[in-house]
Amino acid sequence: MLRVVRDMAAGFLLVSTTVTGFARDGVGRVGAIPPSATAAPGAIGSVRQPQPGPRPESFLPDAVQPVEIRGPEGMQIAIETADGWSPLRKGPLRMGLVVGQPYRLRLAGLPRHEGAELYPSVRLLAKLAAPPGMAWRFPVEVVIDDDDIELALTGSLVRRIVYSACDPQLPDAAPTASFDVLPGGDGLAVAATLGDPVAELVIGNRVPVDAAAWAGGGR
Amino acid sequence: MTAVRPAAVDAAWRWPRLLAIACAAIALASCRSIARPPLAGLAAGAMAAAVVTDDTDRDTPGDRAPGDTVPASTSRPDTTAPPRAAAAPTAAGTTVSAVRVIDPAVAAAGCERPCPPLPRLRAGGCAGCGAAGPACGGGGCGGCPTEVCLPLAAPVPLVAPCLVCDGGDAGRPALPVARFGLTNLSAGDTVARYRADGDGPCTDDVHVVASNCACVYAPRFGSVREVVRPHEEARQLGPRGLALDTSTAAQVDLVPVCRSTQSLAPNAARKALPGVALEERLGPLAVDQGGLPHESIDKLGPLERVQDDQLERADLVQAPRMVVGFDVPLAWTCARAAMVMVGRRQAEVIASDRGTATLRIESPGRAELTLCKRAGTDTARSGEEIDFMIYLFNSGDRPLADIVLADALPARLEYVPDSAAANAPAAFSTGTGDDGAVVLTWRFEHTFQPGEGGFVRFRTIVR
Repeated sequence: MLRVVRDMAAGFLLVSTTVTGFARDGVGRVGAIPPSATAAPGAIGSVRQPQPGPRPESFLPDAVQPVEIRGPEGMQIAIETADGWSPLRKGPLRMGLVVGQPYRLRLAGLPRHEGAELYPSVRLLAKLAAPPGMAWRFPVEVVIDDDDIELALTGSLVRRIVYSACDPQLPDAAPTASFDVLPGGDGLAVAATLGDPVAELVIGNRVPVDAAAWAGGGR
Repeated sequence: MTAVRPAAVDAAWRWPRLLAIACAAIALASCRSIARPPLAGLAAGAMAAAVVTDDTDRDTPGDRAPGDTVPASTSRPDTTAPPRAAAAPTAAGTTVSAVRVIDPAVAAAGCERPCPPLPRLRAGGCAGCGAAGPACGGGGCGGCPTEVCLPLAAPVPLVAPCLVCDGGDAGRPALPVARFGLTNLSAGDTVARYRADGDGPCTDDVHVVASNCACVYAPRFGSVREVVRPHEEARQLGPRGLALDTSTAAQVDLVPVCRSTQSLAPNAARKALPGVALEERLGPLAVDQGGLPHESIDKLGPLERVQDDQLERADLVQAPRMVVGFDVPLAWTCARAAMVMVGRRQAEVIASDRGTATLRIESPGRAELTLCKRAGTDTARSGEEIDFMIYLFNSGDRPLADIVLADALPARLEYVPDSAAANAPAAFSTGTGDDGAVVLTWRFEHTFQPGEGGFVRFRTIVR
């Protein structure tokens, strides 16, 4: 009888100490601060590789700004990506570009210039503060008109600065209606006086014909 | 056949067996606890001795030959190692576990300290972090970093939201004119004039109220083009392949328009004014011919001459002075009655005694109109329509009559013809504000009773 009581006491001691250890373990876990409470929003998913396919706009990275490129009727647009050139599509072409990075475009199907192609470059200068969920509804509108194409095909360098015009006191602005700065003027500086420059489009990039002569100072 | 143990042997193993069970239970409980088990030292006593021994061997390699072992009870306290603290006096076989012994490798890593809060992520890099992360010295990091620098790019410049706002009363406050008119209306103003039913139609009885401001996000873009033509960068080759300086040719071709206009202006002025004798002494455009120098008119002429010739007498020039005086009462009178007008309503004198009068006036109540403006959408692209509604509500105590509601549209909003409507009889008209803005006006023929409301609506196109 005494042995039974003794074994019961030992068993009780074993159970009680085990339960005490589990209880401390549980208390410690409840008091711990979960990582989601202290980490920045999106920190966990920031290291995740981008997945293919459509995804909600809420996952649009901060540095990406949607852009819409339009041109004359029939003009086809493609963009060079890490995987090569995207297929040519009729405009307008809407895509998300990283602010500050230049991208190369390919323009084909130019009106009245069969077979000709242009390779302009576009670069975003700033991001629009669109309401949440409205970034794709309000892209930066870049318009390429016939005159730009004509000038580029005849050898001119066309640099177009797109700016956001919000001041109601300034004259009306429209993406399709632009004006030329004086020869030798800086289009970016002029655009900064009219609004906030948001994009830069350069058409007519070319390699100098005699690069060695240019490097040698013309001798 | 069963083996029967002697009672003495059974009694001798009773308490060691109980002690073994208790130790096993304590060790099990300590292993389940993660955060600093209070009783872990009891179970880790043997391990602590081993750690100290190992550490002592490493600190003083010359004292003993390699491979020598020192019992735990003889390990000397190392005062130069704070993490190990002081070795507690070891009672025989019991509480060496009271000393919290720490592995030096663990101490160097800084992990014996309580864990700080999780680091905050910071975009765009932080000042103290280079490409290799926080500076580490010695055997481990100098401390747990409070910030983790993500390899992100610089902050993206952000353009302020472009809003089109309509409503309120910006600029000069709107004022009622005539019986149904409003003045000082500028683009974006939404105001209404009204009067309490029963008051006179003069402007003193007319109130003006402004609505709230409704804003819509509507960005628009413009562009500036910069064209560099081929001849501006072309290199002209001379004889024997000699490259000419193209900047000269380009400079000739690129004379700004404004300069060319100015250089041509004097020639045009000479041709337009051939009879001017002193041609060379006049300005390029001869604009100074209209004004005569030292022009004097009437009586100011001599005074100017005096000031010009005698500067010391300039202060003696006569100037109008203000006459200050006091009216002294010659006789005192005692008013025996009083007549008080409050809001052009005469107060009734109930009692008056020794210069104190008790008056009574009955207020007819407040005449108050509340305007509330709402846009049909929060965002709009150029060319899209926005539906606006303006609610009117008689929030006062008196009926309101002659209500005229005016909305001066901002420059970016274009009124859609025939889109204005109201739920009460009203005469609608369009006009022009003081700054040229399009003004939509509703003149209500209805008298709004207290608590009664109505609305108007119209559509606009965002430019």
